[in-house]
Amino acid sequence: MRLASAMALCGLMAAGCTTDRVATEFGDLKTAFDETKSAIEPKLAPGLEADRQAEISAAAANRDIWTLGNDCSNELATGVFLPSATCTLEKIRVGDRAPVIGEATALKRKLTVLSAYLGSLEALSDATLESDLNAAYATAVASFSDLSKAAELEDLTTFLAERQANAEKSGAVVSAAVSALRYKRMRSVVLASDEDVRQIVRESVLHALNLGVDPKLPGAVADLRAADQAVLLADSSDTAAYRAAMVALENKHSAFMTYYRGTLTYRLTLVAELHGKLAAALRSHGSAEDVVAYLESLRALSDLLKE
Amino acid sequence: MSSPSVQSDAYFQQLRNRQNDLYRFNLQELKKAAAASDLGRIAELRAERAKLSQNDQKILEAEMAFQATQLDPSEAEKRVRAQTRRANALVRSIKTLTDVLESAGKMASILARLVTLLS
Repeated sequence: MRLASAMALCGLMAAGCTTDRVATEFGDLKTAFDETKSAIEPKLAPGLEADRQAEISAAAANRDIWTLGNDCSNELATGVFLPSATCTLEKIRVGDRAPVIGEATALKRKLTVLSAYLGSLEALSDATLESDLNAAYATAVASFSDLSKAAELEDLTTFLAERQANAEKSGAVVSAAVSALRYKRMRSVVLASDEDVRQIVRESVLHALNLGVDPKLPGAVADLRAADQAVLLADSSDTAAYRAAMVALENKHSAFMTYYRGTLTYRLTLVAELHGKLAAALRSHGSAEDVVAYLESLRALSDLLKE
Repeated sequence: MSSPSVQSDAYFQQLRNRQNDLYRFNLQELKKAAAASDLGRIAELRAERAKLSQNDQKILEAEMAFQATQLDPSEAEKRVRAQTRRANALVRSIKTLTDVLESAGKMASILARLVTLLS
């Protein structure tokens, strides 16, 4: 399998371990997370609207100052007295009133933080950063070479010819250096953030439950636990009754797990799980097997999140 | 379950650790009692486990109620934002370097053409 042999090689040359091979997977994970976030947002719409109205009420009661901004007077580009494209509303809070934040707003904000974070990891794992740098370097050397020939600057021409002759070697050195820098930064960022990502997902899941993002979920969990308690408290000497409770538990469990895997709340928890696995793989400098296992679960997760 | 004087993430972490330990111990003991066919002990352990399950539900409800009061940006959010900036900073420096080289290259090309024209 392509991934396995690539990662085995990475494991062997630990010093040269790069983020290159996780670049596509990061892209997939980011896309999959964004799709989950987009699926959640419509469900937040009523909550967000309620939060908006609550903020307006608080602003009115506090006699805040609302007005059209200065860019609404005349158009910046032409000077005509039409509002500019940058015309916004000035909302000035009087005194030290804190803005009203509702639960839907809080959840949306947390999802945005996670999205930006995954996006930064995706950018950091992009190997075109060094290929672009190398290309720019090669172009610069070639252009300076043309200049020095045109201006008959012999010493410079010789110097640049040497640079061009070495271009492949120095290109490889630059690539390796930039790759290593990216890997180090990613490793440091992910390890520093593991607990916090779990915490943010935890907070998000609880908000999602409160907001009814998956309206049937709290009830389904309560039913599942009730079925468990029913079996545990049943008199096992009454075989018929005990049997009935066992059947009920097994059916409830099976139905719940199927339902649960399709919920948006569950998909959120997977982001935390996955980030944890990434941190573990990076912590151990990615033994080849660990990293392969991680990449496989990343792929499985992004497929799941896209369903 | 009596309501705690101070609810916090640390408090729920403690509850979580305790529940996990109790569940683990309970299952271990159930397996031992089952192997020994100790019906009396089994009945005790089943009843204890049912209580644990009831507590799971109560804890979930408490967590949900607590989180509904925590609406400002959390410390975790602030730290992840900072780490995001660190990641983006490196990407930006590499891109800046690339841009500088590209601009220098373009300038050199233009100068080369000028020199050729003038000579």
